[in-house]
Order: sequence, then structure tokens, then C-alpha cells
Amino acid sequence: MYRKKIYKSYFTYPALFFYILLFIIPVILNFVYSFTNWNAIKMTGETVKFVGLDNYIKIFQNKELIRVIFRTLFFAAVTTFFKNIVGFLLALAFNEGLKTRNILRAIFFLPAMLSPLIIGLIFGSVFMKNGFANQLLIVLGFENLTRSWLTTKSTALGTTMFVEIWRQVGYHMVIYLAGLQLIDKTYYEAAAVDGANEMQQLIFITLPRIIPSLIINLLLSLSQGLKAFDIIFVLTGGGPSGSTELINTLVFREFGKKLYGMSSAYGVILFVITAVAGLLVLKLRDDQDE
Amino acid sequence: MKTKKRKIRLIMKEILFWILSLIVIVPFLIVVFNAFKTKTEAINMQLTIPAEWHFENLRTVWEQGDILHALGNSLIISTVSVVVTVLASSMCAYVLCRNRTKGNQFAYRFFAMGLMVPVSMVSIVKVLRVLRLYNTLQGTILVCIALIMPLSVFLYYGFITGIPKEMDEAAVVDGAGAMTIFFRVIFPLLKPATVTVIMVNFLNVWNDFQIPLYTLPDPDKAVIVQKVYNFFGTYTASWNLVSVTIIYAILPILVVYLFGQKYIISGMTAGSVKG
Repeated sequence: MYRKKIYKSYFTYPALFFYILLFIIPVILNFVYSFTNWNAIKMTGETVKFVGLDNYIKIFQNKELIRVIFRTLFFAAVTTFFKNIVGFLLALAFNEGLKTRNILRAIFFLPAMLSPLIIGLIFGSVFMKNGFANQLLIVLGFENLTRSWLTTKSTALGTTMFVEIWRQVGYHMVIYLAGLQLIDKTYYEAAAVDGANEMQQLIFITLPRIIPSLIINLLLSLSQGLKAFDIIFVLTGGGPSGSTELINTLVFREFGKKLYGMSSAYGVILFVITAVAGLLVLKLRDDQDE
Repeated sequence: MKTKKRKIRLIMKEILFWILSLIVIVPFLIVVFNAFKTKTEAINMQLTIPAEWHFENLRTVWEQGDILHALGNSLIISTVSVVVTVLASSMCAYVLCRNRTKGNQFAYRFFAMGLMVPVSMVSIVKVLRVLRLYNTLQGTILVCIALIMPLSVFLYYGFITGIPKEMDEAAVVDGAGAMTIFFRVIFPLLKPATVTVIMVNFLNVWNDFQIPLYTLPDPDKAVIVQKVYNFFGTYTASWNLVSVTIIYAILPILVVYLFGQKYIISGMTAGSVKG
């Protein structure tokens, strides 16, 4: 009978209240506003009028805007790929053996602790025309490779991806490490007795057992990549000539122009893409479980 | 013979990874070195030790940038939103986890959804305007609470699953209300999870730029991360001073990291390993 006495429903109310008020209601409002022309471009004040699918039609008829959507997907895919590969390799290296592995782990994890905006600022200086990246290239004798990385159209997006990967690799490493430490050591001992080499152990023992960590890492890195904002905002601001514009920076740009309806429509598109990506990865997990 | 060879290989590996770690360390060294240079010396953010250490840069920025004020704003927002979230999410997760009615199961999934999908900043601003909380610390705090709630409920829920239910039965004291029982008996048991929730959320709120960018445009109310960005906008060419602001913004985090590394890492992986 203690059940009724201590599991009070009202315990859940404060958390639900905050969450619904400033997370769920805004998400719903965003859907609603995306079908309006809500804006404040006129000095006389704001107007809100229901315009149906107009915003979406505008977006999907504009090649440049469709490109932003695909660029966001590309950004998320590339950063996810490298964050996971490098993160996993680091985890393997720092799992055991190395004497200084704890310090190394702490060093590689450090960037994940810091504000992406500040990391963006630091790398803004590293990749500027006379910045450290080019200084290093000159010292190494690759003078012809130097360029201003963030304002050249062909390298800007790649550079922002590099910074995003640099920032998060340690985070994914830590999750893989936790997964590796859950694997029973006796598997490896048995395999070694049977004469399996390190490569075979990796493929037949480690990889199959690391899949839960892989799935959570995919989920996290995909959602981070799709929602990327601070890094782009401070490194390139979407430029040069829109070549690093992602959905979330566009949401802010339209917001700045006071085109709130349009901004909401981009928000909805990002919402749908993120939700679909999340569901796909979760489906991957369910298939795995069967 | 074989062990010696292995030893050498291990040492080589160690050296290799320390060289690799320079990729992480060097950018921070650049910031530290240039923070103490003159404006002209820092113009290209070179990786060189300052010709002369200009420690007065620390003071210049502290005064001109009104750093204390910004750190104070960050501290208020982070602390209040973390405290409220800890109380609300622990209570909520406890009941959701222990009393698995259909409604509670739904509520749990409802929170879990918030872990992945993006927030709608434009509409959040609208809601804040309606509540007359736009451009106030209180409004920003409310937004932070709402956005860190899902992860907190998720972390507590996972932890509570591991505590035997018999504890609850033993905790029931005649005459004491549910609230008293929870905070006297149950909440202390959740301490490891609480430490993690505090650490992870504090970092997230402290580091966030997107929320204050939308909800707190007033420069007087800027949090430290915004301050760094505004400072960068005003003193674009003065990398020495910008570097100092970066140090001011990072230092509190480094202190937290040094003392709470264990809890931060366990927090970031706890939810994930359970899937």
C-alpha cells in the first residue's frame, strides 16, 4: 500500500510544466507558424496571415535553398563518419596498454567540455590567412598549399567540418571506451589460445560487441551534425557566398530579417529530418536486437 | 627477447599518441601565448612564447570587458537552472520509473523524444514575449530548464532502475508526507546520479550560445560566452585581448573538469551504454 502513498503523480508536474511550456509548445507553434507569413518587416508592426504551404513551396522551388538542405545532410554525414572512425580508433588505443592512457584520454576529451562558439573562435584564428595552419604549412615546405581556408569557397565547408570533428572526437571516444570495457576479457583469452591474431580478435570479438555504443554514437553525432550552429556561425557565418550555410544558420538569418514564418518553416524541415534520422538509427537497433 | 620487443613497440605507440595529442593541445597553447602579447605581436596568432609577458592584458580585459558581470550572469543562469532541474527531474523520474502506469510510460517517452529533436528558438522567443520574460535572465533560465529536462529525467530514470524497490517500502514512515519521504530518504540515495546531472547540465548551460543569442539580446545581460563573441566583434584585430576573454571563459570549466572529470565522463556515458 506504500505505492499510493509515495508515488504521487504530482511529483511529475513541475518537470512536465517546464518541458511543455518551453519545449513542446514552441515545437507545436513552430509547425503552426510555418504555415503563416508571420513577419515584422514593416515598421507598422507584425502581421500574421495563414498562407498554407507557401513557405515550403518557396523553399523547394529555390535551388539554392534545396542545396542548403543537402549541404546540412552532407555535413552531418561526413562529420558523423569521421567522429566515429577516429573516436573508435582512439578508444581502441587508449583502452589498455599505454601507461599514460588516462592523461591522453583527458586531453582528447577536453574539447568536448568547451563551448563550441569559443572553439570556433580559436580555429577562426588558426585558419585565417596568416594563421597557424598556414604558418605550419610554410614551415613544412608546402607553401603552395596555403590559402585563407575559411574565405575560399572550395575549402570553407571542409574546414568547418574539421573543426566540428576535432571538437567532438573525444566525446565519442569516451562512449566507445565505456563499451569496450564492458566486453568480457575471457573472450580474448580464449581467442588467443585458439591462435587468433589481433586483427581477427578485433573483427570477430570486438566489433560485434561494440554495436550498442556505435548506435548511440550514431544517434548523437547525427543529431549534432544536423543541428550544427555555433561552429558555422562564428567560423564563416554561412559564407563565402553561402557555401557553408546550413539549415540552422538559415533559421537564424531569417529570424534576423524578421521573417518569422519562413524561419519556422526551416525549423520544421530540420525537425523532420532529425526525427527521421533518429528513427532510422533506432530501427537499426531494433533489427539488431532480433 | 619477445617482451623487450613488445616494450619498445609500446613506447613507440606512446610517443606517437603524444605527438597526435598536439593537435588538441596546440590550439590552446596558441591562445595562452597570445593572451600575453602586444596587439602587433599577436596579430597572426603565432605559436611563439611572448617576447615579453604582458600580464596587464588580464586586467585590461577584466575592466573593459566587464567580465565579472558576464561571469555573474552565466553563474546565475547555470546555477538556478541546474538546481531547479535537479529537483524537478529527480522527483519526476522517480515516479515515472517506480509507478509504470500507461500514462507514466507515455510521459517517459515524451521526455525521451526531447533528447534528439531540435528546439524551436523562434517560437521560444514568442512564448517568452507573451510571458513578458523576453530579454530577462528569468526567461533564459526557464528556457534552459526546459531544454535540459529530458536528459536529466533520462539519467535519473536509468539510475533509479538500479535501486531495489524494497528501499521505498522501508522508507515509508507513518505520518510523513510523500515529499518528506522523498527528500529525506530517497533523494540522498540518488547522489551519484545527482552529481552527474549537475555536472553535465552545468557545462551545457554554461557553454551554450544559441539560447542567449535568441533570448537575451541585451549586451548588459550577456553571459560569458556571448561576451567573448561581442568582444571579438568589437576588438577584431586585437587577438591578444580576445585570447584573454577566451581564457576567462574557459577557466571555470577547466576547474570543474579537473575536479569532476570522473562524474562528467560517467554521466555522458551512463545513459548511452544502457541505450
